[in-house]
Amino acid sequence: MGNKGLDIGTNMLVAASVDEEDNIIFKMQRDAFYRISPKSEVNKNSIRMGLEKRNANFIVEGHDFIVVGEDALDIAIERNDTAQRPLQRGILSPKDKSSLPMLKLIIESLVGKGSSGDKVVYSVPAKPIDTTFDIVYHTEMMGMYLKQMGYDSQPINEGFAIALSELLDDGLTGICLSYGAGMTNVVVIHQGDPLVEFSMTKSGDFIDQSVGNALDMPASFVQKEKEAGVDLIKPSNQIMEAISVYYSAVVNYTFDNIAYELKKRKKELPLFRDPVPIVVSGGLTLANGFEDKVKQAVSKLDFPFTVGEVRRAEFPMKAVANGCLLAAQL
Amino acid sequence: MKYNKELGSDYTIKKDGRVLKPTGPRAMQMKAALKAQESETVRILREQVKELMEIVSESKSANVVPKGYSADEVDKEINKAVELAIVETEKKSKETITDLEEELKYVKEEFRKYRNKYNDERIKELENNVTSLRVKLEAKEEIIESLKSATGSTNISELVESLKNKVDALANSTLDGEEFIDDPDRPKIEMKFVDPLDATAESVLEPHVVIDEEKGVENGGNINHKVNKLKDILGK
Repeated sequence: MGNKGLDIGTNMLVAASVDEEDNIIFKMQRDAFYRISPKSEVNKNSIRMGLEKRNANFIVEGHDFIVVGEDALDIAIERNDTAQRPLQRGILSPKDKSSLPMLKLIIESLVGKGSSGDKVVYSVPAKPIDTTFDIVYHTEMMGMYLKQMGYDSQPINEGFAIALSELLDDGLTGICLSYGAGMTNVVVIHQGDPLVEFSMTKSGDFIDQSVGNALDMPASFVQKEKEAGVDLIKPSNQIMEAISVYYSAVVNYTFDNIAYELKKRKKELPLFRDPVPIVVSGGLTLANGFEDKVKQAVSKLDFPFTVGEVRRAEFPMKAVANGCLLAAQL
Repeated sequence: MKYNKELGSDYTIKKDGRVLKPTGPRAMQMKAALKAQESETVRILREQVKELMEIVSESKSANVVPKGYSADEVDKEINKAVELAIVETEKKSKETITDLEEELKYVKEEFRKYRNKYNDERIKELENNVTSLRVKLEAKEEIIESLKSATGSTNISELVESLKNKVDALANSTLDGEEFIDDPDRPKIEMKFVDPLDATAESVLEPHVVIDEEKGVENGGNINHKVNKLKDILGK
């Protein structure tokens, strides 16, 4: 099967592997599930037929169907309900055991069973600066599950994985940000040496919930609207305007904290000879005008180096998995 | 009061024609003092006159033109002597200038020597600085290597992460300002995580999950080129 990279995100699971011709290939699955409990045997058969007709991925547990992936989100919205997610804010919760079997199945469907010597490098968030949860439990549990699937597993910081994927032509020097659903991960790296690493709980879910609260609508609906495409510079309606406002809040919050952390470590920082590029990645960065929001935020701040170009990762949804795969090949 | 030339200044002639001669004790004292002064003054003046007369007679004898020389010849000799004196003076001046030039040359030479010496010392000092910096750099590299071998890690990020974890562990272990001294040999608790899932829980699940590979333009390309680049940067 070979070595693999695995991005374990709150909203999306992405696996990267190599085919026979050494080309990188990806597999993606929405990190969500939705349980349907049939009311009768007839109802059970009709539900099953319906799921098979729309090619949905599902798990049968006794009489229940657990729809996983993108269809879980769609069916939940169709039923005016909310899909469940195995991860909250980027990590497994020790209190939520019920979603662990589904998460394991989704991961196994992405990476398959490993054979002796196969390695999986998987992403974990950095230590958060605005909450108190412990990432050790998440890291150890994911490592244990991957081991059960037959792999030697190794965790890697999410921001560092982006740096491996996107900063090869910059000598592994730059600022990498992963704007996911649950968390924003940040790394400031100099010649392969991570200087500042941290995560924040304000990201995609924060925007969905804030807009939902402001406009009195379900957060999952806002999420779908957001993922259908957002123009942050010219928002087309009230929802988009609200989304744009909270996007700005999240981006400013991120860069204010980066500037703050760099200022704290000013005396320890090395000399950056060239302008430092900023690479943004993750689902949030797919919005049109995201780089402009970043440029606006950066222009108001004072960094201890010259900021270079602001660019989006080549494949924003796959950069972390790609970096994990590269790390697995070393 | 009239002055009578014949009587002298000692006598006073009153209006009625009486001639009064000062004969009192004060006048007698003054007269005696004046007499003593006059005699002394006269003696000194006489001696001076005598000296002057001697000088005059000597100069008279010196100004006499020697016999057999005319005044023009004397002038010529004087001019010759003056010219000779000028030549002598010029010669002496030239010698002095030459001496000064040699002295200046010597001073310049000394200055150049000192300047070179100073430059050499500066270069030597800079070389010493470079050497000490090189030694420090080597020591730093040794420390990094020893840290790497101590932690069993060759990856800088892992190393940094492990050091951070150690610092965090230290910070969490310190309570109420109590001093905590890390002893690397002290036995440590092994972190254990137990799978909260029931071992049979998964067996009742019947998965119907098929996830296709992503194809098309968003393929990541060939991996070998990227891995080689990464190895170059990380020095592997």
